[in-house]
Amino acid sequence: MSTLPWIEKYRPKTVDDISYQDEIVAVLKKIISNDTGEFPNFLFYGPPGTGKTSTILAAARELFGPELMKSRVLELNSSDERGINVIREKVKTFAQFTPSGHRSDGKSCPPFKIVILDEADSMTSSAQAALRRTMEKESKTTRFCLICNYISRIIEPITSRCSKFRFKPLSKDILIQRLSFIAEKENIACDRDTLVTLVNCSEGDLRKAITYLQCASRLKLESGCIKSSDVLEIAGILKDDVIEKILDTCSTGSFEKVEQCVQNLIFDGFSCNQIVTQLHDVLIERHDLNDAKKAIIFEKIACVDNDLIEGADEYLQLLDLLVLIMKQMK
Amino acid sequence: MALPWVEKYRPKSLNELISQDSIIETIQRFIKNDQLPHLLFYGPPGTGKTSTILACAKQLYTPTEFNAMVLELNASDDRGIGIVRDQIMSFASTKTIFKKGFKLIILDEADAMTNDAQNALRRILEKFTDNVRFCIICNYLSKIIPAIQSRCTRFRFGPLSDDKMNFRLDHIIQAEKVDITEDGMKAVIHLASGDMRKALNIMQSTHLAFNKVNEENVYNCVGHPSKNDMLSVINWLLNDDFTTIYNRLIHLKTLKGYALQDIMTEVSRFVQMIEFPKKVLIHILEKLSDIEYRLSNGTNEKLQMSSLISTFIMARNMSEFKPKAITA
Ligand SMILES: Nc1ncnc2c1ncn2[C@@H]1O[C@H](COP(=O)(O)OP(=O)(O)OP(=O)(O)O)[C@@H](O)[C@H]1O
Ligand SMILES: Nc1ncnc2c1ncn2[C@@H]1O[C@H](COP(=O)(O)OP(=O)(O)O)[C@@H](O)[C@H]1O
Ligand SMILES: [Mg+2]
Ligand SMILES: [Mg+2]
Repeated sequence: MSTLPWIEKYRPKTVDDISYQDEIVAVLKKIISNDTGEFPNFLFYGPPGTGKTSTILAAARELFGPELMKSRVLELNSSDERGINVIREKVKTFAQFTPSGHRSDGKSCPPFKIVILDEADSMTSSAQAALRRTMEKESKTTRFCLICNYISRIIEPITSRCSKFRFKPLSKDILIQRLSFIAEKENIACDRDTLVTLVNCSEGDLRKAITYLQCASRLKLESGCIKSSDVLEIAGILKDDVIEKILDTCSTGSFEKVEQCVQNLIFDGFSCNQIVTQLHDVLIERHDLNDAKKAIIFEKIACVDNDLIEGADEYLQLLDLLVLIMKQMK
Repeated sequence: MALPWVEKYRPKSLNELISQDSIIETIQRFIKNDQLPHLLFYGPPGTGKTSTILACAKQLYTPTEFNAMVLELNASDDRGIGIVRDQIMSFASTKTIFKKGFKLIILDEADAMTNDAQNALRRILEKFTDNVRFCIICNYLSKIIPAIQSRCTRFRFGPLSDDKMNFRLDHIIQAEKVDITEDGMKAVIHLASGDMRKALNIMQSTHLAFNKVNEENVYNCVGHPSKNDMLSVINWLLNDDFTTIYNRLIHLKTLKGYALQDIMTEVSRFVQMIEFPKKVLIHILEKLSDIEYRLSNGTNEKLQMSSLISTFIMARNMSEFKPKAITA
């Protein structure tokens, strides 16, 4: 078995292989096919695992061919140093040399280079600021493609310089299609139920889904068949009855019991984030809470979600939330 | 080779610039009377600041003089105090073979300059007034120290007006043979909100993707919620129960691939058009800004969307709340 992660092995090779992102694919195909070089600066944004990086890499490969890729494409992502000095030196130097309009095999190719700034939302705003005029001044020879999850972390003067494209979360059908394609290629038995569970666990993120599939296949190498429960376990998802039990504890109105429950959950190693998300999904459908109470609970959940990202303590956050739910359930 | 439209259609001369007439008139008068002061341009992106000064420079100097007489520094150049001292000083103090009056130093994107560097600039601004003019450009005036502000004549570049944008876009539409409808034009202008660069980028990418630039394609291309969808969203938020709103929003979001961030932008626009009592309006705006902040931290869209619903349910339960039907 090859050791290459499946997300790399099955990364789309051409723009045509990109599923579901029709708008950007249409734009890129036009650029690739008629060589006009009308390649604007791009800004791709959207949730993880929806094809942003794959799209620009595939487009670059089609435009330049595999040989020129190295000299024509500068790819920087958040694992590279990208402070303001790197932008000033690396990007500026790369942007300033003038490429020719031909490949070594004599075929024509666009006379520009592409700078890909992947995960651009992790760049400091002064580093982003350093990009502004460079993007304009070098526009004769250089195009930029910025990629990020959160557009709000990109400063306005930069978004104003790019054609923005949002990558949509992939639909369930597409996810299932890609996953069963990979399962087939890898010779894994995987029934529809399992595929559906995989999809439900990964929230439109194909990378996550493929990774789960590969993990599960490693664990189940002997039996050769993957079941829904394997997927749930790998994804760290709580069973429905565990969530129900948490809510039952809240409805007893006893602080001690709630506290004990939180201790057990943390002890069992469930991630607080996962618990909160699943509580959210169950509570939305509960009819025994009126809207005023729901409003209070869901505002709290949104705040807890933020506090966790800012590094708050899991135990205290969960306790805080469950006590609030307890009060609303009275 | 074809350039991106924003560069291809960068105004080459001052009379091509739209909407900033009074600024340009004033500057032309300065030039004519040979009284050009140090300039400070500020304002939001894509309103013509860089274009204006480059067009001025083209008018002032012949192409052969250009390099010797104009120094352009921007945020991609290192602009610590050292640069200000060395590069600017040496450019400012060398004599040229050209007999023309003054040299021009353009400090674009000056909001990225350190305070130390700005302080070093104060003295230079005064010392070389005989033979050098500065043009300092920034988005945020507050990032420029007051001492520099007071040494320059300030010009604010406001967002471009809709009809002026329309006029300039028409010119480009003809040159590029863009197939655009009236509602398509409206959508481009609405989404650009006064930023010409944004307008050109939206138009170019829609034109590339669909050929026909109509309202639907524009919104599709940028993945921005359409007006009709937003009207439904607002109506749900003001009338339905929690679970129903949630399911409808989720459905709409996955169907159209909208980002919550963009929905939020439109919601806050709508909210200000509805005549809510002050107290209710304040509650809503405050909560919206909280959600916006949390989203920018990278929180889960689904969970944050529920708190958007919470915001409206709470508003509806306030004693001051009187629901009103809304149209357009
Ligand atoms: N007033 C205007 N008239 C005509 N075109 C304009 C105008 N303002 C902006 N544009 C268009 O937008 C592009 C960008 O303009 P410019 O570089 O002057 O913006 P800026 O004000 O310097 O923005 P930033 O603050 O982001 O640097 C130009 O190439 C031009 O096509
Ligand atoms: N739209 C898509 N079409 C086909 N495969 C995709 C798509 N989106 C994601 N994938 C798969 O998921 C993996 C990660 O995609 P990637 O482009 O790196 O996502 P991101 O949007 O986070 O940059 C790829 O290797 C590919 O197999
Ligand atoms: Mg990526
Ligand atoms: Mg500018």
